[in-house]
Amino acid sequence: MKIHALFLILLLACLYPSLAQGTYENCCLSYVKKLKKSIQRRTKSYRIQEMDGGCNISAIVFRLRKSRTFCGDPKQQWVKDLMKNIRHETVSY
Amino acid sequence: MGSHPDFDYDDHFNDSSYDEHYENYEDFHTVCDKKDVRSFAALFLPVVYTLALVVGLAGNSMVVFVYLSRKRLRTLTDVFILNLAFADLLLLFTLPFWAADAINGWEIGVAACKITSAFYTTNFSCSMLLLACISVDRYRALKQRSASALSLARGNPRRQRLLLCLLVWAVACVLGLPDLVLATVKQHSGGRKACRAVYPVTMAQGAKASLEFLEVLLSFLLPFVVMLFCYCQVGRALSQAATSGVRGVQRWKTFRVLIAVVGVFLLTQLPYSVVKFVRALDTIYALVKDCKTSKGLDRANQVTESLALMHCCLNPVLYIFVGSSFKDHMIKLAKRCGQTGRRLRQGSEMPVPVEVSLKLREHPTDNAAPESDDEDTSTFTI
Repeated sequence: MKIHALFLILLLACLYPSLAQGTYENCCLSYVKKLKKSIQRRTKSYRIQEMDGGCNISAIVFRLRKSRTFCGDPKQQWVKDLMKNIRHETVSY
Repeated sequence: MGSHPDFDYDDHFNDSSYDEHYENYEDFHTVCDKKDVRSFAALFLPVVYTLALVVGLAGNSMVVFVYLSRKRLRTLTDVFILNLAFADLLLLFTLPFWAADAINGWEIGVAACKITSAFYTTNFSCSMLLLACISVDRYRALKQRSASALSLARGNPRRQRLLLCLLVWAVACVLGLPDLVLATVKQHSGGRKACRAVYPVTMAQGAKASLEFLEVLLSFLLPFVVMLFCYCQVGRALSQAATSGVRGVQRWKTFRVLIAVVGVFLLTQLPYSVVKFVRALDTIYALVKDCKTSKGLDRANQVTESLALMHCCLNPVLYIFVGSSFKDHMIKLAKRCGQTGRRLRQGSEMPVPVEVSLKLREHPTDNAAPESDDEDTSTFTI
C-alpha cells in the first residue's frame, strides 16, 4: 500500500513541463523613470520587449545613436507618447 | 523634417548633459547586453557536452549491450537500469544540437527545435523518474521477503514490468509535450535565432514561474526525498543485518554504494535546482535589476545545468560498475536482511512506520500469496 502510494505519487506528481535550455537574450531589467526631452528627441526607434519567456519584464526599448538604449515602462504616458513619434522596429536586430 | 535643424542643434548643444544623464542610468536602465554570456556558453557548453557525450555514450551503450545480451532480466531494478541507460542515451543525442545552438544559434528549423526540446525534457524527467523508481524497487525488494509485495507480485510479473515501464515512459512523454507545443525558434534582439519555449504573453510570467517552481519541486525534491527515504530504510536494514553476522567490511562497501548514489544525485542536481529556484523567484518578482548579477545568474545556470547533465554519464558507473562487484554479495545480504526483518517483526522490534506499512500490505497480498514465491527470487541488486 505504502509502495503503491510511493509509485503513484512519483508518477502523478511528475506531471510538470520543463524548460529545456536557457537562452541568454538581451533584456531590460528595469525602467528609466524619466527621459529628458532632449534625449527623447534623439531616440530613433523602439522595439517591444515581450514577457513571453525570454525576459522577465515587458518594456519598450528605445534606441538612440551608437546603439545606446533606454528601457521605458509601457504603462507610462511619456513612453506611449514617444512611441507615437518614432519608428517601430518590426525586424529586431 | 522641419524639426531636423533643431534636433541637430540640440544634439550638439546638450552633449555634456546628455552624457552625464546617460552615465547615471547606464547600469540600470539600458538593455543588459549578454553577448559575453553567450560567448562563454559558445565555448564552455560544447566542451562539456562533448565530454558528456563521449563518456555517456560509452557507459550507457555498454549497459544496454550487456543487459540486452542477457536472456532475461532478473529484477525490476535490472529493467529500470536498462531503461535508465536508454533514456540517458536519448538525452545525450540531443547534446550536439544544444552545442551547435550555443555556438551559432538555432539554424535548423522549428521542427527540429520542437523535437529536440521535447526529447530533452522527456528523457531528463524519465531519467529522474527511473532513479526514484530504482530506489523504491530496492526498498520493495528488501521488504518483500517478509511480506510479498503488492500488485507487482500478482499476475504475470513480466507483463507488469512491461506495463510499469510503459507507464514511466508515458508520463515522461507527457512531460515532454509542453515543449513540443511551446518550443519554437525566435529571433531575439542580438540577431540570433534561439530555440526556446515561447509562452502566450498574457500568461507568461505566472506560467514560467510556476513551471520552474514545479520543476524544482518534482524533478529534484520529490525524487530526492523518495531516494533518501528508500535508501535510509535499506541502510537501516543492512545495519540490522550486521548483527546477524555480516562482515563489517562488506557492509561498509554496500553503504558506500548507497551513499554514492544519493550523494552524486545531490551533488549534481542540487546546484542546478537552487539556481532554478532563484531564477523562478526572479521571474515573478523581477528581483535582479543589475546587469552583472543577471549575467552571473545566467553563467551559474549554464554551469549547473551542465553538471546536472553529467549525471547521465555517471549513472552507468553508479548503477552498474560500482554495484556489480557487490551484486552477488548484495543478494546474500538481502536474504539475510529478509530473515532479520522477519525475525524482528515476530519479536515486535520493528520500527513503527514500517510495521504500519506491513500491516497495510497484508490485505492486497492475501489473495496473491501463491504467485509471490515466484517474485521472491528477485531480490536486491545494487
